[in-house]
Amino acid sequence: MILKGDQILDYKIDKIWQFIVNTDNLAKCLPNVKKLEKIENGFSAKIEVTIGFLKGTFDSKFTYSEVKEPNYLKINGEAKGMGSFVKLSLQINLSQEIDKTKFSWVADVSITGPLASIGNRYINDVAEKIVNDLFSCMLSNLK
Amino acid sequence: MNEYKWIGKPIKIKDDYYPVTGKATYLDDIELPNTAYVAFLRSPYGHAKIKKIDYSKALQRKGVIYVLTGKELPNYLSPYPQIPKPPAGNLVDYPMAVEKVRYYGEPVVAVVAEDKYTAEDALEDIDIEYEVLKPVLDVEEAVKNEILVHEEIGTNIIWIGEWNYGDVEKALKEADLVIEDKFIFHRYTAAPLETAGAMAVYDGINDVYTIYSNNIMPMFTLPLICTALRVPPSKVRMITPPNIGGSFGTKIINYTYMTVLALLARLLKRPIKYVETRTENITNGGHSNGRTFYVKVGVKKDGEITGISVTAYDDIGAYPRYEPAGAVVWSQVLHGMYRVKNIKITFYSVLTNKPPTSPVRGYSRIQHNFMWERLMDRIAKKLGLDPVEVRLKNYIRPEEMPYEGPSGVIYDGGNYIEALKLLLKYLEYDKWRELQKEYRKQGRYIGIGISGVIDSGANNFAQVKMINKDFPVSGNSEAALIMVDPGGDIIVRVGTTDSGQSHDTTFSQVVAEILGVNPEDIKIIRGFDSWSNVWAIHSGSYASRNAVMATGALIGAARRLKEKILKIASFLLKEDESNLDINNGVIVSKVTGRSISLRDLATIAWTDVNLLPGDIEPGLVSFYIYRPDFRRNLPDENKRINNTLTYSYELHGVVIEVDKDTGMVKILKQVVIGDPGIMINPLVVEGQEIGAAMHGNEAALNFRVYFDENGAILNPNFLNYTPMTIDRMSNLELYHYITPSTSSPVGARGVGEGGGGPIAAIINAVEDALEPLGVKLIMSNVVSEELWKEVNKNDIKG
Repeated sequence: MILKGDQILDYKIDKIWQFIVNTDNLAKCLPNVKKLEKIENGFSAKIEVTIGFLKGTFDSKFTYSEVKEPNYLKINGEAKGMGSFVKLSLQINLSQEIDKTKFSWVADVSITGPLASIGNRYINDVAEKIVNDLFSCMLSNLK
Repeated sequence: MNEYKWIGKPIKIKDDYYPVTGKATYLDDIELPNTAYVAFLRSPYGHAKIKKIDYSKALQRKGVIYVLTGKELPNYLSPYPQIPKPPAGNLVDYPMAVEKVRYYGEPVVAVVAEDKYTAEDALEDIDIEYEVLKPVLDVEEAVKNEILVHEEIGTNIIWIGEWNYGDVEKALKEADLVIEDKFIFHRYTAAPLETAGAMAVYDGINDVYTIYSNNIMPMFTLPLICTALRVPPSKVRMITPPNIGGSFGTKIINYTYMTVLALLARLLKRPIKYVETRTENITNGGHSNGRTFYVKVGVKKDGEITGISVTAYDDIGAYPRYEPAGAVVWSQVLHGMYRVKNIKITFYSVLTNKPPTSPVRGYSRIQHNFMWERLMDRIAKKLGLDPVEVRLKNYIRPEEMPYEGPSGVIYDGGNYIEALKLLLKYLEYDKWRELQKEYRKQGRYIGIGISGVIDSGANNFAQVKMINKDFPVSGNSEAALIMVDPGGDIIVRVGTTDSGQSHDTTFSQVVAEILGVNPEDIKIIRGFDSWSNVWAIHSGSYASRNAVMATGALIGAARRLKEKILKIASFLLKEDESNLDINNGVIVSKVTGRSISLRDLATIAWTDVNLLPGDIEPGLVSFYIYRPDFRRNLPDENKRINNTLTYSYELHGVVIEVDKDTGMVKILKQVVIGDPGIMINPLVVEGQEIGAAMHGNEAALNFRVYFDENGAILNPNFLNYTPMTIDRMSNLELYHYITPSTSSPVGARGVGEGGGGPIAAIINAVEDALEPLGVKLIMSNVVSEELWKEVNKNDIKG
């Protein structure tokens, strides 16, 4: 499943890049993180997720697999929980537009297990919420 | 037909009392002290290697007793026996995944806990590392053997069979037109109200397992369980509770649960119980066989079929749990309702990385019927004929009945032509054809579809000898025991397992008929117990068999008992036996009027035994095992066999409308004409027929199991796998055109599996509705989203 979006941010590309390339920054912006650990090229986190009427905890691992300063970042993620597996490949593209930066992202998400059956129904809403939370967290941290 | 006193009467269904008043006892109602509960951690993938299982955390959870992994099973169990000879016969099947998972939902770990909630919660504590493999989900991909489901047999093809009669090549040459087509029958399930489950108890002193389950053919699955547990059948007692909440064939393959629970009961010395959740039932409780047909049919201009050649690929899922029986069962209806003589069918039974299939109402014949009935409409459209005309042209004629088909099946009567005329009358066929033209002008998509289905019943197991001639099973049998107890009550035991077919009512009528008593005086012992009830090895409720099989056994036992009753009465009344008959429970002489009540006679027979004639053994009890003669009892080298006993048929007609704005299919009118032969109780028969029609409507319009590219099922719950509800069936009209069966004891035919009728009728109707748009449907299921796209494709493009 491919999810994507873009947003114009009122900051210069370098500032945004510095923020997202730091795993600590990104990790603390993930919503409902219960436990966080640094690993090589990334971090592992225990995240509480609510999908529709279901609530569960996921053990997740994120690694920065490709880093091309200051435009391109690829993050691979794996999460296990609720008897299901989620795989994520997130690509972020930054492009400078005068004083602003266009932040575009494409996520390839695959879900298997019981969650797959309800996931498709709610995943867009959940993804939208997570992304919105991430952006607002990022913006407040960039201030 | 009118000579019967009780057979044929719509007497009130007494079985309904229990479920309607909440007094029914199902498997999950049986509680034993000290029971522990199982939950299965199931595979999230269709195909993956199991690399590591870590369940240490689960064991630490309060209430968890034990964890068993599939990896350990070979230490305790043997694989299940297989029907085919090697190589397919070498397939290794355990009830849980050992080295790799082969289908979504395959049990990998079993957690045993003090209660079922703890067991289920503990599944989250288990960590399994998988190496994900590419699954093979498409049957036509699977036959290429590029991805193997079972490496140990080196192929995904379990069996290939060829049926070849007449001269198909010549027939196709002589045809005016040869039509080639492809049809796909989809996977769906039965969604019984009660899911599958089992409970096992181990008696260590006698080394005996008692297995409670809602299995519908317990004695037939027993050898599978015994092979796995490495014990003789005498060491396993099989019990089913008084009530089973529907099965529709699916509750045959739950023997895998029974095996695991029996093992755990032995290991833990406690009763062990497991009942599927709804999600587990939809996922793994048994799907119908998906089947792909490639058809080549030769026709004359007037619609007469000269010959047909078919290649069929049957998707049986990852393990042959009842298969490859389905690879031969369809041949009961090889030629459908048609008098075609030149037929060649090549049939592949194929493994895929999908859950194992099970019989589902209309098992294996429903797919084949679908192919025939879709084909008739396609022929009609190609030739510019009415679908009715093409059917009438090719139907077996009433004067040809009983009809012996090219494969040796013996159709036991029927009048397809008159039944179809009746259908057209009640459907108001001509009126709707006119209306259709009018509505089309208004931009409304109305379609009319008809379809027939052969609902064959009381199977002959010798058909599996086509797969393996040495496989030791053939024919069919059922056992009954009837006793007039010392108090004069009539107690009946039968080996069947009632899963909602109203056996009490029907069986009471049959026994009452023979014994000359009232049905309400008869008590049928509900439930099955291999140690205290009677059974034959084929006992159970499957293959629409009991209108014939149980009836045969009951008549045999009742006649034996009646003979004894009359013999004793003759002695006591000093009357010739030929003067005596039983009326309302009293043995009366037609000559002198002398009489004795059955009650008084029973007291003498059981307790005052010195009053009996010297050559009569005490007691009033009789036992009988019925075995029908199929006339062609065993297959010959050309697969000629009569592989079932009765061939009831139903004709279905529907008028539907496809809503342009939503793609929803609305049934405007639905008519069913059934020919179940002599109906023992018309209310019971009608229930079976309506239920089957409902299941067919579900299959055509609702039920379809969706898989993602990993083989995961995307709709395993009632949120998006929605059963048909009675409010959507309000347009159904049911009528009968009765011809008695020429093969069965009272002229009755088995029914309840006519669900294929509506499937082809609805698909035919939808295609008919969308004809102006040139829409061709390939599958046996339509969903609104797909239809909406078809209906609006021009607008969408714009």
